[in-house]
Amino acid sequence: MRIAGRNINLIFWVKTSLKTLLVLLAPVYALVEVDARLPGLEGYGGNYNCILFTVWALHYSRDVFITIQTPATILAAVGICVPGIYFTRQLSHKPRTAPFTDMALASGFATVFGALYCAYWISLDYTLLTVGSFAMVVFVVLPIFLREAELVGLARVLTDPDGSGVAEDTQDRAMRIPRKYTVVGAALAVAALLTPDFLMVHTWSFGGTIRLQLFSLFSNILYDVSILVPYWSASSSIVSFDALFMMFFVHGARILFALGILRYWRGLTSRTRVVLVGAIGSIVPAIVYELVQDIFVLETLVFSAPLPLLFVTGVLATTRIHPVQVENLQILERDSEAALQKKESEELTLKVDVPFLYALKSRVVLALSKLRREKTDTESESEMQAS
Amino acid sequence: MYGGKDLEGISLRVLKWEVSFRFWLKMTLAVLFVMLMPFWSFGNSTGYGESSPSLYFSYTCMLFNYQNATDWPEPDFWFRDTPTVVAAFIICIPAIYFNRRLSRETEDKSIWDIGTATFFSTASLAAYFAYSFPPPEIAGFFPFLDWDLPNFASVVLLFLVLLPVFARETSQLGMERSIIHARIPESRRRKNVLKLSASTTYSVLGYVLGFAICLIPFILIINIWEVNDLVYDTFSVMAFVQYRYYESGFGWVFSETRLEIPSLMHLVDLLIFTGFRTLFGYNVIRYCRGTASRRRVLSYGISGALIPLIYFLVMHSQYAIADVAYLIPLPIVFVLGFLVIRIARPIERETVAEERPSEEITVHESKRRDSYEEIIKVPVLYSIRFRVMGAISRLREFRVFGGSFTYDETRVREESVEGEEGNSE
Repeated sequence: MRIAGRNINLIFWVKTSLKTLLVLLAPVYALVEVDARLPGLEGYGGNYNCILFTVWALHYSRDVFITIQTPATILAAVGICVPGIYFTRQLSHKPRTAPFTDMALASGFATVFGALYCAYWISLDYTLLTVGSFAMVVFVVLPIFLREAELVGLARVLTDPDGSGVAEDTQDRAMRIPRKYTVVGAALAVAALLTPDFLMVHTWSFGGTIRLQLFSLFSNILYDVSILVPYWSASSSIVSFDALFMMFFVHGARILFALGILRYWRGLTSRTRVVLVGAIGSIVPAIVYELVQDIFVLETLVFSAPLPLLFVTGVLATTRIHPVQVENLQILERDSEAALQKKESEELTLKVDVPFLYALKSRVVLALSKLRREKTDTESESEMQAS
Repeated sequence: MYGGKDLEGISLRVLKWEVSFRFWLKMTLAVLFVMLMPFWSFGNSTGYGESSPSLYFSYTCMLFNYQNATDWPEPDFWFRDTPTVVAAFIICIPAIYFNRRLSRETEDKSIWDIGTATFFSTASLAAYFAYSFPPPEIAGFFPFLDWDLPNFASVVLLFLVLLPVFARETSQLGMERSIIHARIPESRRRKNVLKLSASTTYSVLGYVLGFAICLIPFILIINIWEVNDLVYDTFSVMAFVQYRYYESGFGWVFSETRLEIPSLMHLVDLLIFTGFRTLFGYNVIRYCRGTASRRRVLSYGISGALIPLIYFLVMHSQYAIADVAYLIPLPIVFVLGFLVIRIARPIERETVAEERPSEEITVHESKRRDSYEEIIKVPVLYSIRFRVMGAISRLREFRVFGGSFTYDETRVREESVEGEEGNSE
């Protein structure tokens, strides 16, 4: 789509607005509880808190409360998404093999600053911090993972499945990257963010409640269950930015590990290195949480253990699935990418049916401006000669 | 540069070490300078008439705070606590990384991405340390490290990011000038009076220019209360300099001078004041290099001179507290820049390109030429209507190739091309 000389990709913008809606509707805090402690007042309860609205359903009554955010806050939330959207757009324009680190840093930090600025300085709502983390995940982390996964798919497609030789019709093959690679990439991103890697079990003697607490990079899941009376509740809260800064130091290696798996499949890194990063990513949180327990004495704590779920799955993934082994694979990828980009850009410049008068007018304007340009060129030449 | 005869591996490594040593020495000095730079300095004198007034002076920087007055027994001096200084150093780290990248990149490579990343990371680190460190979930109390950190972040961005960018641009200008210079016959050359190397001269010029743009005031505000109280405010981009003078009926005289570098969190104000003026300064250098058009530079300059003025006019009419107020614009930077672009002759890119062929420029040029001939301007509404109708009818024809949407457009293209031809004929 060309508007005033610009290509506008309708699909991209539809996707982006859906993603923005997802960010606005994503749960900052969610809770489900079942309570049968008091006879006559038992029931289900719940709480769903996102940036657009908050819903409470109280378990001891039939009331449901809904509050809707102020327009200024919603506007600020959309504004926080803007750098991420810009990044996604740049990423979709460039060839898949182009470097993106600086751009990702710039838009990621712009998102962070936007969230901090809106929450603390113009003090709209502290929930905006969490919106910042959602925007970062949806618009920066996820596209990077998808792109890496597509590159893995491209590498697989360019080589034969048994890795014996190189396909000849690279362009056509580059078009057909199976969908499973995208799914794997998205799953890896979600796993790196949400797989719990530390478990704490607390007890409260009052009511005989046991609390299971699962920590991951992005969320903190609590599961309360009572032994004595029929009561349980499960809640998940998303880590907001002020804690996320800390969390990145604690859990950050997990993201590198998940990216490393994809890069290993492309044959860019060795398995030792990937496993090493994964080990760091699962050991550091364990040490940190053990230390936290010692410093802030948690008297109700009875059991704590690291859960290296992601690490085990990742190591299995690297041992079971072998990397692509073709020499000069990167050059091959780059060339086919370039060819593909060229083809796509040729195809994407769709022509719009234009009424005759528009075309005529435009041509006249064009001719006039060309004339003017030539005139200035000759003037400058004559100036040159004069001097 | 170091191409000697007997440059073996070892000596090369020594030279590398020397280069990085010079870089780190420079950075250490720069960080120390930034830490000692005042972002809040204050001086006033209070007294009756001509009798000796009591003087007060304060100096606040990231390492210490100093206050003194003539009638105090001893000056008040304290260092900031260690966590704050460590946080200040951490705030400097993105800027140091930026300088590292700047020293390693080739001259013509774009630095917008990494510059933006540096700006926002510095800003968010400052906001984080000022308002939410340590996290209240862990610490259990409301965090309070130091609210001066956002002010410090402005200083860091000014001295470690903005000025190096200016210096880079001017040193490139110097290099290109020297290329041109070599072509001029020796009789017509100007003499190098200062006997400095071109790169040094021009990078110093860049520092001076950037610093001037930030410090030269752009507006003078005179507030008068009941004739005998008078306030002068002069505002410049980064530093706000203010002079106040009061005289009461009893002969009591009070005058104060204040310098303040505003907090980075006043982002909207800072962009209104800084944005176009900084772009103007940067583009004046680019004009001299021949990479920016005169019209563009002038439009930056005019908006840089007008927008703060309009802002102040509106704000002053809303919130004026004085009886009489005068707003006097001081377009010093604009006039100087205008003189520069009147006098200076831009370098011709072709001459430089002959000496140092750059691929990017040629690619850019060819792209521009192509698009110049292709584009037909169509009213936006018409185009949107056409697209929406087309999209609805074509919705069936999307094919999904494993996760990535691709158009099957060959047929559609043929149709539209035919349609256009029919119309134009």
